[in-house]
Amino acid sequence: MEGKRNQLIKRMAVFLFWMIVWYVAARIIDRQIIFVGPADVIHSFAKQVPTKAFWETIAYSMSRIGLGFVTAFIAGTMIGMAAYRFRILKDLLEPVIVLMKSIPVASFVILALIWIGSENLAILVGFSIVFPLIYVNTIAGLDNADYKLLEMAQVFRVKGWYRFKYIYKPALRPFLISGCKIALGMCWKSGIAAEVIGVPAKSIGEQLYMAKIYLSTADLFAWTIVIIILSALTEKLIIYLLKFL
Amino acid sequence: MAIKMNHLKKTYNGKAIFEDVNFEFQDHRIYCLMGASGSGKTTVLHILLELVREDGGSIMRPPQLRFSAVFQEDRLCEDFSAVENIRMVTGKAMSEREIIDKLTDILPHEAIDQPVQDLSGGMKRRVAICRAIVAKSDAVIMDEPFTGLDEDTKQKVAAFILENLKGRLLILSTHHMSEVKMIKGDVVHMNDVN
Repeated sequence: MEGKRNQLIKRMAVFLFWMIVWYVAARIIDRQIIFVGPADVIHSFAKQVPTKAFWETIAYSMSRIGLGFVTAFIAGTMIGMAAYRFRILKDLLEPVIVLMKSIPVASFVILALIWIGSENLAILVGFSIVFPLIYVNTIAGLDNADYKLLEMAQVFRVKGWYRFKYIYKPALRPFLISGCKIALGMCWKSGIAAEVIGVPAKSIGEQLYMAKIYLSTADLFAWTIVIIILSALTEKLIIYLLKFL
Repeated sequence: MAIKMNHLKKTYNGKAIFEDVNFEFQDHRIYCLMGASGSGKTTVLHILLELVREDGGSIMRPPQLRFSAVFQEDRLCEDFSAVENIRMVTGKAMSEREIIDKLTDILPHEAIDQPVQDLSGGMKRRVAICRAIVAKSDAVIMDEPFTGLDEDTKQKVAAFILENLKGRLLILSTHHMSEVKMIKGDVVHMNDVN
């Protein structure tokens, strides 16, 4: 209990320290177009949070980026498992995965914008970022299954589902958790970048774009903080859900 | 049903572990495989389980022969309880009540619901033994099953094995004559089979 309290005090002290650094930096720069202080950001939040449009914007971007993540997660684990089982599929997909991992996000966003327009751009971009990460981590996790346990399962003729539940799943879980941690952050970054380029209506990307056009740095900072908070919250949610896997 | 090993040979890094092993394991019997460390006991058992391939000779066994085994290591799923470890090999063939009844014959009741990783070495060994005994099989292979058990527990576990073997062939490796007596087996020396 005492340890938790001390940790909380320590965290608050660190937070306060950086808020002061931020405040002092804003005062020294003293140009609101380039850099705003915490008070301006709080003012921007106070202006936007009570509005319906603020929450609609969050819901729009979250649903698009979330859908991209979830579909990529499902496809990545399923196809990853199939590729582990059938090595020919792994060989076949190898160039696609290399391509997906190495293609610059900006190039892909522009291509995807031409193909599907701005409405569902974040879904496709999020998918293209998350899928290879989850796919690769799924295969690595399954490869990591204890071969001695697999030998035991072979001797006892353990059935497929039980093999998965007792041997493969525990091996897979840490790889999926670490893969999701990285993938989710990248999914948010790339999804928002796609929205800034595609500028779909009522999206966070549109808000960032408008803030840039109108040189509203306080709004830009406020939306950036919203993205960070959403990314952290969804990461915690996914990690929590994966514990039940 | 019998298992016949004819002129069995196994080499490792070009060096022979054993050569010309000839032996016949008859059904409904208990065999205790003895021999010095490094004489190839575990390798013979792994060849029987088809985990290792022989480098020469042949092994004849009925085509559908089904084994259960206690390995030199416990080979348990550490995140799961003793009950779950047993369920993995029995599937739906045994109810939870039946599994618990078998486990509590050789394990304290409070140990059976804990993740196996929290159990002592001796308790893990007993879970591995119980798993091999309750699994559906025609023959049971045990590689030094009594390792890490005190004398009283060994007696209890040996009685449990004999009570639940139900006529299956048991091949067990050991270094101790006291264990051979406990399990009432016929001694086979690796030197004899070489």
